[in-house]
Amino acid sequence: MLRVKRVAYAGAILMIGLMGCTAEAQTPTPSGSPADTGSPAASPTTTATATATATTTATATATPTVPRISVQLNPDRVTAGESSTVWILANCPEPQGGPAHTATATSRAFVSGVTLNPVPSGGTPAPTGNAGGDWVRGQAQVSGTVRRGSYRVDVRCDGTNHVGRATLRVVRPEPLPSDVPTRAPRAGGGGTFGKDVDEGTSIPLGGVGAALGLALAVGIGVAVRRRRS
Amino acid sequence: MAKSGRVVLAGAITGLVLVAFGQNLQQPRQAAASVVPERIDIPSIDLEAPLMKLGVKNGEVELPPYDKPDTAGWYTGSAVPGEKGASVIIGHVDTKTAPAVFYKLRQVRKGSRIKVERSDGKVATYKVDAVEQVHKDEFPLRKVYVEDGLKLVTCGGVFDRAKGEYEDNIIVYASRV
Repeated sequence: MLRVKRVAYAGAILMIGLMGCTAEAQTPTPSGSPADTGSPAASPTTTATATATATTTATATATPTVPRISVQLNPDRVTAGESSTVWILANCPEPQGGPAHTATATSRAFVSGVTLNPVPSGGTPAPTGNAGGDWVRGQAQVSGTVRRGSYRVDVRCDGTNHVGRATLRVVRPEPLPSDVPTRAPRAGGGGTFGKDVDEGTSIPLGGVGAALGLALAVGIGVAVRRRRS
Repeated sequence: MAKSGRVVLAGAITGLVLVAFGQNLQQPRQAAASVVPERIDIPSIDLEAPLMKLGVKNGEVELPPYDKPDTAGWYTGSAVPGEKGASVIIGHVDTKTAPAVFYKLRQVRKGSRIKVERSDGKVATYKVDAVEQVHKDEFPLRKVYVEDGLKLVTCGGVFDRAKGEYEDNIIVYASRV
């Protein structure tokens, strides 16, 4: 019996070791943030692109008086000097009976306040991470004149008065990655330039041309006859 | 007998676990490395063309050869269409004598669909967001080569006979649906 026990222990240790290894290999951050209490087993499906999909989740400090909701921005950082479009996603619970499931997002960085509407199933962008519950979203314009800095984005759920916030960063333009091509493609030999024979317009133009030609011919014919008579 | 039975069982479970996790780790990498886009289809302008691979040379993306005027090319330094990131497909507007694969690209309108068939059988579908004509001196490198989405690039505008090239580029921006 002692031997069986040993084998069992050895097996258990081996299994734990394996699980540990694979967990490390699959997720760069195996321990979820303490705020993520919802589903710890949420599979990290997009680990490879985790850095690219830059979204922030508002820190959900549990204040008992005002119910806080999660707000995500996609992207959460835009470049100063160029106008951009930012998606705002908010975890607004659907109100019971009556009021519409909408929310309002405001920020000094936005051209105007934005109404957030329910996220259609399968629509992109969808909330990332632990995305349970009801979500609303909308698009805000950020003007190119907005200066660099951090801007608060406030969201208020219209029906339930839940509020949440996230931070939008307006950053200096990053230098282009070194492996990006530096020249515009030279994708043409010039064989059709000046011949302006766009397929899209040639047929109607041809029709008009034929009609004009016919009218001219008839006109000349009539004129010639009149002269003779 | 009971002892050896348990030992065998433990071994079998360990083996299964190894196999299961081993596969999980290997599969995505292999897929990402070998998949390439093979065909592009834009029904609104009756365009259907095979795709070749285009590398980069001296900061300039290679172009499909003029003796294959009906072939467009996927820049291998860009994302595989259907994956996240910038995917870039380039084609000639014409050769020295006749129209080429992207001759009608300028007629593409916002909202049109673009389909890209991949070597793994998947079809990536995109919706056109914008069509732009820009001078080559102001080619938007970041928007084309860095920002997310499919970009189709060809030439347009005035043909500069002295330089032997068009002055502008026509760029179609599309996002996944």
